[in-house]
Amino acid sequence: MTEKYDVIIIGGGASGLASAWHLVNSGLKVACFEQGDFLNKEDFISIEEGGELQRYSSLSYDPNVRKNDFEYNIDSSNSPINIANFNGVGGSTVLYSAQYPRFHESDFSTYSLDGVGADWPISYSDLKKYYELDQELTGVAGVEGDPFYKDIKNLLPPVPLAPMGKKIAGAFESLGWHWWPAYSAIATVPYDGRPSDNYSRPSNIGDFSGSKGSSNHTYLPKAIKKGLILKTNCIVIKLESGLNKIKKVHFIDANGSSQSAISRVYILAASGIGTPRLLLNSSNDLYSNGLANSSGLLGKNLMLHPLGYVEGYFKDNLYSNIGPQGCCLLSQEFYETRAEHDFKRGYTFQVLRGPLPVESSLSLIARKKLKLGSKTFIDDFLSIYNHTAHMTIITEDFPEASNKIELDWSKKNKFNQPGISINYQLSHNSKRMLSHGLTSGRRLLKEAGAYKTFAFGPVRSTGWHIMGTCKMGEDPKDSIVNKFGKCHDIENLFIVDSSIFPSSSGVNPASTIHALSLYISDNILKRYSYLFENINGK
Amino acid sequence: MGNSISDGLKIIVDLSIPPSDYLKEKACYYISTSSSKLCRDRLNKFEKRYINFLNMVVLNNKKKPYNSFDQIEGFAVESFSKEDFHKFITEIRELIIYSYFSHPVVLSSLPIPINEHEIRMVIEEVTSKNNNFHPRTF
Repeated sequence: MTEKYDVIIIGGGASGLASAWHLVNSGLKVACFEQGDFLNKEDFISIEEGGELQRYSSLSYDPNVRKNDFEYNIDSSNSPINIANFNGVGGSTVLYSAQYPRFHESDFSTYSLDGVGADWPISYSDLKKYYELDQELTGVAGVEGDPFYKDIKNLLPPVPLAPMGKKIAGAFESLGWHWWPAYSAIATVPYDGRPSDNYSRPSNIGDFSGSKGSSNHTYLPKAIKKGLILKTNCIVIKLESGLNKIKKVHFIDANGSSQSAISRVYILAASGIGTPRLLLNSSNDLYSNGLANSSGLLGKNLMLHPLGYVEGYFKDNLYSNIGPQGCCLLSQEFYETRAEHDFKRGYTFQVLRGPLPVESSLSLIARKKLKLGSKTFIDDFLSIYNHTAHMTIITEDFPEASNKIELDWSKKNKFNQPGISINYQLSHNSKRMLSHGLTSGRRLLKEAGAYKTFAFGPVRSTGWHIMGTCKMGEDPKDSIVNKFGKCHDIENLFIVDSSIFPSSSGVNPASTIHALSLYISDNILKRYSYLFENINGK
Repeated sequence: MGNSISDGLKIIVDLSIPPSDYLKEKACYYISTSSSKLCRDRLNKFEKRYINFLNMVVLNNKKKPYNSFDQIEGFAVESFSKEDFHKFITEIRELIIYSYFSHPVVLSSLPIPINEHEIRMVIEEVTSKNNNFHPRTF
C-alpha cells in the first residue's frame, strides 16, 4: 500500500529536522525519511571505558569505516579532502564539534563586493529572524559584543576557555588580532529541558546527554510531540516524476522491502552529497540528466572548506585535552578581503581542545614526536599530552564547476544503488589563503610561548562542510533552486540543505543550515500554500 | 575473559610500551584484557594475517632475544616488501595504541583528567578565573 502524507522530507539531519519541526507545527502531516537509525544511550561507551575507540568504528566520520548497509560508498581518491559525515537521526550534528558562528553579511554578496564566488539571492537580513529562532531552539553559548556579530544577543554563558584558551587569547591580544570566545551549540547551563554539559566527552564523539545542540536533541523531540512521523532505516532510492512534478518516492523500508509513498510536497535534506546523488539517480525519459538539472549544474560547484591545522607544544600543562573539542575561541582577524593579501576573502581561526589519548598518540607517533619502543614512552607521552595548543583554519572556498560529485556505478551498495565519486581540487586562491593561515597560526602560537610548532593543510579527513552542489539563484540557467528553495524545474520539490549554498563563507555552516531550512519552510507555507489546497477539505 | 595472544605478538607488544611508574604491567596485559570488540577483531585479524612472521619472531627470539622494538622493525623491513612493511607497521601501531589507550586501567592510572569529577575540578577552577578575562573591545 502506498503511504500518503502532506510533506515528505528526505533526510533526518540538521536541515531535515528543522524543516520538519516548522512544517509539523502548521498542522501538516509530515513524514521524515531517514536512512540511518536513532542512536540511544546504549550506543555510546563512556570515555573512561574506552569510548574513544568509537571514533574508529560506529561513530567514525567516515562512511567507508562505519560500513553500514544503508550507506553508500564515497570515493574521494580524486580529491585532497575526504568527505566526512554521519548518517542517522541528527545527521552530522551527531558528531559535529558544535561550533556555531553565523555567516557575515558580506558572505551573501562576495561577487558584488570582491569579484569572487557567487552572490546569494537572499541577504543576511532575510535570514536574521531565522538565525534568532534557531538560536532559541538550539541554545548557543558565547559572549555578546563581538564586533563581527554585533546583533547576536541572548547567549548562554561561554564554554570555559581553560588554561590553553587563556594562553592563546593572550597571544591574540599581544598581536592585536581579533579573538572571541567560541559560539558553541553547547548547553553550558541547563537549557530547555536539556542538561548542562559536564565536559567529560569531546563534542565530536557524540553526546547522549542532550547537552550538545545536535538536531536530534533540539528540533526532533519538539517535532515528534507535534506529530512528526519519523521513519528510520528507510532508504529513499528514487523520486518518480512526471513533467514538472514529483509523483512519489520509492524507498526500501526497515525490513528491506521496496515501498512507495506520495505527498503534496517533497523536501530534500540529504546533505551536499546525498541530495544531488538522489536527483542524479532519479533520471528518467523526461529528465535524462537527473531531476531539476536543466542548468546542467547538478552536483557541480562543490565546496568543502579546505582546512589547515596548526599545533604548538608548550612546557606548561595547559589542560588542552579537556572540554568540548571544537569549542574554545575563534578569530576572524583575516576574514574579510584585504588589499595587502594575495588572495580574496579570508578565513576563521578556531582554537580547539586536543584529541583524546588514542588519537593523540597515533598523531604524535606519525609525526615522530613519540616512538613506540622508547624506554620512556609513557613519560614522553605525558610530557606532550595536555601540553599542546591546537588551531584550525577554515578557509572560504569558491564555487567552481570542475569541483563536483558524480554517480559511481562501479561501487554499488547492498541495495544495488550507486556510490559517488568526488572530483575536487583546491583553487590557487585557497592555496594562498591556506598558506597565509598556516604561517599566521604558527606566528600566533610562538607568540603564546610554544617551543615548537607544527602546521599542515589541507587536512584530508575534514570534508564535513559539503556545499554548493544544488546552487540557489534567480536564474534557472545558472542554478537549481530559486530564492525560496524550490527547484526551478519541479513545482513540488524543495531543497533545504547546504547543497543550495551559492558560496561557502569562512565559518562552520551548521547555524546557517538550520536558519536557511527554517526560512525555506516558512516560505513554503506562505508562498506555496496552493500546493496544500483541499487538504482535509480546507 | 582474556583475549588469546600469541607468543610472537607478546614479544612485540611488550617491547613497544615498557612498564612505567604509572603502569606496572607489561603492555600485552592490556591487549589480552581489552574488552573492546574493535580491539579483539583487530587482534584476531592481525594474528591470522601475520602468523608466519610472528612464528619467525618466536624462533629468532629463542636464538637471540630481542631487546628493542627497533630490532622487530628491522626484521619486518627484511621480511616484507616496502608496501607490506608500511601496512604491517600501521596495523601493529593501531592494534597496540587502540588497546592500550582505551583500556580503563590505563586511563584511570595515568595522571590525566579523564572522568567527570576530575574534569569538573579543572574546569570549575578555570571558570572562576574566566570572569576576569574578557576580549577587549575593538
